[in-house]
Amino acid sequence: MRNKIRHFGIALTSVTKGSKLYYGWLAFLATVILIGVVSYSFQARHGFIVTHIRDQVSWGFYISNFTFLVGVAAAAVLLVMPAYLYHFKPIKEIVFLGEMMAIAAICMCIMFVTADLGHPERVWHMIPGPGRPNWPSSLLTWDVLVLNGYLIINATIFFYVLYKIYEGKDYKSIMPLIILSIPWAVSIHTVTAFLYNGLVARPYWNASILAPRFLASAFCSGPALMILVFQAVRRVSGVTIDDKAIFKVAELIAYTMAINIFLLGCEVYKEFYSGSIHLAPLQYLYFGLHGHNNLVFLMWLSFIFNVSALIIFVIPSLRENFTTLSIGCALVFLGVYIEKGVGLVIPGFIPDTLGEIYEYMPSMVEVGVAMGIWATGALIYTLLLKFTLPIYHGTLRLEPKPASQS
Amino acid sequence: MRIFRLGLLSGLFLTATFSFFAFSALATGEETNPPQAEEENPAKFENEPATFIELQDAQEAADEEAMDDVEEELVPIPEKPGYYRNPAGEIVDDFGIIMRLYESPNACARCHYSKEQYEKLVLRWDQSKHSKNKVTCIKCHGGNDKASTIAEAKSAKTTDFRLTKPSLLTLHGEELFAKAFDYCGQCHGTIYRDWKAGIHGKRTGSWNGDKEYWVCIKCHNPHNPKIRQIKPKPAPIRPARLASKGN
Amino acid sequence: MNGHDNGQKKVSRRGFLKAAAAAGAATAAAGCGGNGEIDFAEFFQSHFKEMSKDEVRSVIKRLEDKYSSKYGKQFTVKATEPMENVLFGYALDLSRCIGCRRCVYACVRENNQSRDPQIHWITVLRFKKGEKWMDLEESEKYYSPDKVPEEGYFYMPVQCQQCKNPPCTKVCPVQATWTEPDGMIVVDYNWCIGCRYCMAACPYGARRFNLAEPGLPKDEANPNTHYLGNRPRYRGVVEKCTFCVQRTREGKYPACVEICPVGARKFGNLLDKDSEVRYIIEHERVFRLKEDMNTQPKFFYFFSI
Repeated sequence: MRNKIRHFGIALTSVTKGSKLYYGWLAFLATVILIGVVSYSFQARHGFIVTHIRDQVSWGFYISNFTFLVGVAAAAVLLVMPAYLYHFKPIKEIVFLGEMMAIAAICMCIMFVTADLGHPERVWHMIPGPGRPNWPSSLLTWDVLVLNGYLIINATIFFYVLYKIYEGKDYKSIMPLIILSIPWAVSIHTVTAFLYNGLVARPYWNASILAPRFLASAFCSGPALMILVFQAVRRVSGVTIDDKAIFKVAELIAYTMAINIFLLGCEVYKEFYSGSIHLAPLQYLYFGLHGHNNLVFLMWLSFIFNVSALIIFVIPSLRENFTTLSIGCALVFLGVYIEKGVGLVIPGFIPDTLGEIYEYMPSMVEVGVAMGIWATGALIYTLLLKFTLPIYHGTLRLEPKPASQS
Repeated sequence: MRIFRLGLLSGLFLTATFSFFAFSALATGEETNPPQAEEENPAKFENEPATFIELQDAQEAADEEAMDDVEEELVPIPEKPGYYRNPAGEIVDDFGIIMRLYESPNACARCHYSKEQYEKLVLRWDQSKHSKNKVTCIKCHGGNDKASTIAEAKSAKTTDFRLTKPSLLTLHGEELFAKAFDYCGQCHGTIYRDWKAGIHGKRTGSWNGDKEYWVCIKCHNPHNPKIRQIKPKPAPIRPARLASKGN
Repeated sequence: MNGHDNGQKKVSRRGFLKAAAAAGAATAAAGCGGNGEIDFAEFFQSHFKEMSKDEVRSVIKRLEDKYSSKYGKQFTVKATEPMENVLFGYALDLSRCIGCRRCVYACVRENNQSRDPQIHWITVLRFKKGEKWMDLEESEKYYSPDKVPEEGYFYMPVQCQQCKNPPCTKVCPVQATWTEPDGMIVVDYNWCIGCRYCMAACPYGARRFNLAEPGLPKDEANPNTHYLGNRPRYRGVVEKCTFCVQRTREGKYPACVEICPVGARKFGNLLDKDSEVRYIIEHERVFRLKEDMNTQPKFFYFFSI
């Protein structure tokens, strides 16, 4: 037992030790987090008037980022499935990287939602008992439930497996939880989609295709981000990542990207061919409406990114070349970030329910807060990784195996 | 004279309708019952009896014709477009209705003349729908615009209008306000009905208790009843310009 | 274990949870405290519907003191209960409305809306006659001619439609907004967390968010208020039209009905066969906005001519 505590201490202190690059990275993140904190305190002091959120567009950049990150978190399941269910070894070795990303992404989600609240100190009103959660009627209570549940499940699996590896024991007993995490990952994204989907007032969201589109885009952008992060981690931390694992993930992106673009096409066809008044938001996005066209450029950019990424991922020789693969991943990430961040939440409000067009663009404060939250997410990921590495490398084991000591 | 002509015309019309009916009945009687042929050609209905609407159309056409006849004998008055002098020397309007009261604002103004009164009442009235529809002073106020003395003018008996008594000549202030709907309601029947039900006009006070019913002339100036244009309150501030000065 | 014990245990657990929440809350409140100290009594205030009569009284006392000192005049905060057998309904005659926006500003005065940043509960839309029927996208909210009504246009004021099947209360994660027995949809400004989900859900754009500390000048504040209605609001909460709950529960007409210069606005009890609204629904050709959404508003529009 004393050994265990001491080893925990070692793992914890290893977080504070590192190369110049590591300290530089931490300093950079701290600076960005500071920007976020300053921005948020500015918003907390003056209210939402310092953002560009108005009655017409009542959700903005925060909720957009939240939506995108739910996708990233859900995408961890793409590693969990081949790793634990099919025991695909190359991925099994790196599945903890994916779980860490899920943890970091969920933390960011929670921060984004909190930043979007007018009265964050009143969140206890959602806790059953002292509060009055409107469950099961409100999808937001469902979302709180599944997101926190997903965080707990992933954190439990991650730390339990890590502990068992450290003990050098088998971690099969956690398998039920791992299996549970797979539908749970789908559920966090479905529930988030239903959050928008169920609103009769917003025809743009009130389409059955919304949840499938959500999932498809999540399963492209999440893995794309993972591939980028894996390459960076491989370069700086000495974790060995089999190329096969990365190529497998890249192959998955090819499928999900194709599905994503197909579903987008379905939606575009239905809206433009039937040409009802519900066309307005889509028209606003891709062609502009009544002379308002702030988002047109971004949306076409996103479309071009997505299509060119699809081409890269569909051709095996391109996706198995690390330069084009990285470009492809960056394209997917940016493409989906725009598509989902800008092209999903905001056009639900444009035109608003009374036909008014207010062209929303995030204010400096909103961008600052968002940057801070992203940096916090990156910090969480970095620290978790640093904490994990000694155990992963085998330098920290309860009973060191003779083989790994040599 | 006119009545006689109208009678003649309607007699003629009735005869025509009757013979049309008779002819149609005869014609259908002649047909040897071909229901299949009818189904094949549903557009063929010349032999069907005239519908109520068709009869009404015919009546209207006949009326118009009669009107045209009247017009022929009327001499237009150049200074008053739309008005004519009939053979008896009376002023009549498009419909042949004798408008001996048309002159009334001018006639009334013989005594009731001041710049203020003229501008406030007559001029306003002149621009109103009441003027266009020949609702003249005495239609509401009563009195006699052919009078030469004040006493004679106040004897309302000479008017042939339906207005309730007492005449507005003797009503003033509160009393006038309280009674307004009695007068307006005689011509504006449907609006009077709506007002009584609470659809038209304004009510204030208590939704489940005492209400104040706003009478006609509280919103409508009887001399020009149309609701006048007013300056709107400022438009809301656009979202992009919304900012708190306080903070 | 009998029921009484159960209740006691529940209370104590609740107390514990509240105390446990305090630590976290204190930091959160300090982070976003903005102006002024943290009011713990306010922070721990229960949901309006869960409060006992005594609790309501003490909360009202606290609020009255706070508002009175803030605005320099004696405030009353009522909690008038809904009347029996009353379901409020509204009718608006589009043939008569002249688009003068008198109602908008009467509402602001009566209901203590923030003047800066500006909050209006009523939106008046202008439509061109003879074009597409009620295409909201073609409507104009910011018209400002010298004189109204303008030739060739008609006007449609939109405010909370007090739906029978309201999408807004359905989505609220904390039940901070609900339908009262007399049909009015209200917000507990002390319970709302400001997530604005209800604003996304409302098909009528009827809900407003306090983007900043409400700017309500002292001399313009209306001291006659209702807890669920026009009492001064907080920054970061959602508010909406309540058919002037502070007036209508005392038998008075809403402020917008009182001010309308052409008598286009009609208000009354839908359960009363002799009410004006009932007469209008039965005798006029009424319609409700966005009927296809099945929100079943208790707000009826009609053309009397």
